[in-house]
Amino acid sequence: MKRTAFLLGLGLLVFFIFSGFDKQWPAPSIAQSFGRGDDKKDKTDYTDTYSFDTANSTIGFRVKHMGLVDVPGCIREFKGRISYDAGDVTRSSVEFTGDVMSIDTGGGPRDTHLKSSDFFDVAKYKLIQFKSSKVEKKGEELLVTGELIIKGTSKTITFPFKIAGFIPATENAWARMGVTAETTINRRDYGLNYGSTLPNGAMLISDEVRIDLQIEATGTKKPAPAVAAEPKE
Amino acid sequence: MKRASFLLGIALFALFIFSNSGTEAVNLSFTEKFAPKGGDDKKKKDTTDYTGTYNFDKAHTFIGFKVKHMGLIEVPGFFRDFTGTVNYDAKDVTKSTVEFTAKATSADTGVAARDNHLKKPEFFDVEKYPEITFKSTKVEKKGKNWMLTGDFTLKGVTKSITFPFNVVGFLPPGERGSKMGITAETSINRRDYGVTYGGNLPSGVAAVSDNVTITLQIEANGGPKAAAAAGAGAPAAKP
Repeated sequence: MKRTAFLLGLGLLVFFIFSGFDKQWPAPSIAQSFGRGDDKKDKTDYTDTYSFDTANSTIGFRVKHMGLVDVPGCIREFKGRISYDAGDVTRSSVEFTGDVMSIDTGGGPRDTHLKSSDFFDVAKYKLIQFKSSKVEKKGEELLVTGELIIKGTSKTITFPFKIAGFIPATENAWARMGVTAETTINRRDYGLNYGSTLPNGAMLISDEVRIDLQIEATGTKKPAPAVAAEPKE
Repeated sequence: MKRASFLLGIALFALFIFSNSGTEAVNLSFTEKFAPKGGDDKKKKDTTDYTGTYNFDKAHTFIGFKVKHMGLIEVPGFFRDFTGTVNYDAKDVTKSTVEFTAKATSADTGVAARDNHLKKPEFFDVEKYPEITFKSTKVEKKGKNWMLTGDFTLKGVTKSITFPFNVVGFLPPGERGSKMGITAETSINRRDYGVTYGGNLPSGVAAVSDNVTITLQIEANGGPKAAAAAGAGAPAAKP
């Protein structure tokens, strides 16, 4: 009996280790992965307004081509803003605007085609916009809801995002935050209907478009002069 | 006692279901996912011999890379200018080969100043090393995964690397030939190739990660062409 109980325990242990247990752990944040102890003590209040760093941020997308591979692209020209509330993240907001003229899938005729009325119709609809209306926390997951406007069509979408971490401000640089998100939209919801179905049933260009946001944004606060802080204690 | 063994049994069963089989499900290939098991579907009956030479379709092929910036997010880039060839052996995939060359100077990360920096000796040193090349030496099947081994040359340093790839599928022959799709992802340490630029932040995080994720989304054209219109679409009759 003891032996069986032991085996049972062992079985359960193994089960826990190899199955869901590790998935329930919150994915380690950047601070947890790289922290040297002082990151834990990073008591900085990162509440601030952050502007997208256009050099390091990517507003990317991907479509499946002929059912075979993903063809990626991005919007090169954009601006965006995050109002981050460190005390209550659900009070944060984000908005950004992309210039469709800057769409880039590797250049050439495809980018020209994307700007035509078959796709984005840039002559009429110059901008892609997103403006959040709600930020929620569901368990470990953060969700943002907002209005996405493409080609003049506005839809409310909700998708998960992650705060990748923060880098404290220095005397020479603003604080910096990283945010990542990935979601999928159906381009036909926004009137981007171009494309046909191949004889084998695969779509020339998938309806589903994966959106991949890799956002680095810089704040407005710089640290108080270093001298004043310490002698007080 | 019986009860205990019963519970143990359940635990082991659950272990089996939630661990191994889950992983396998993720690795289903395109064909497994989309080709029905029944014999009725046309796709199932595609008996075309896709053996042949395929050239990378420049408009639909993506040779991309990503680095982690300041430990925060990923900054992607890709090579705009490249050529590549797949020699596909349908009967024995392990006899297939692939090679490609990317022009180092065509690296595009969306920011001109950064792209110019990448051309400097600190990074690719494009004047001395204009090309980045890969030439396969071995194709193997390990379990359900296909593995590709080959010589990867970056900045004049050649290393043998092995990584998994996936033959996504084929489009049946038209007059101009067939089309195949291949995807692969791997990562390399850029310092192995002498690309050593970049320091650490005060927190110890690298400004530019050593690890570089490489993403290949390859569409290649070639292989068998459709026989004159009459035979097009009909399964090739085996002699």
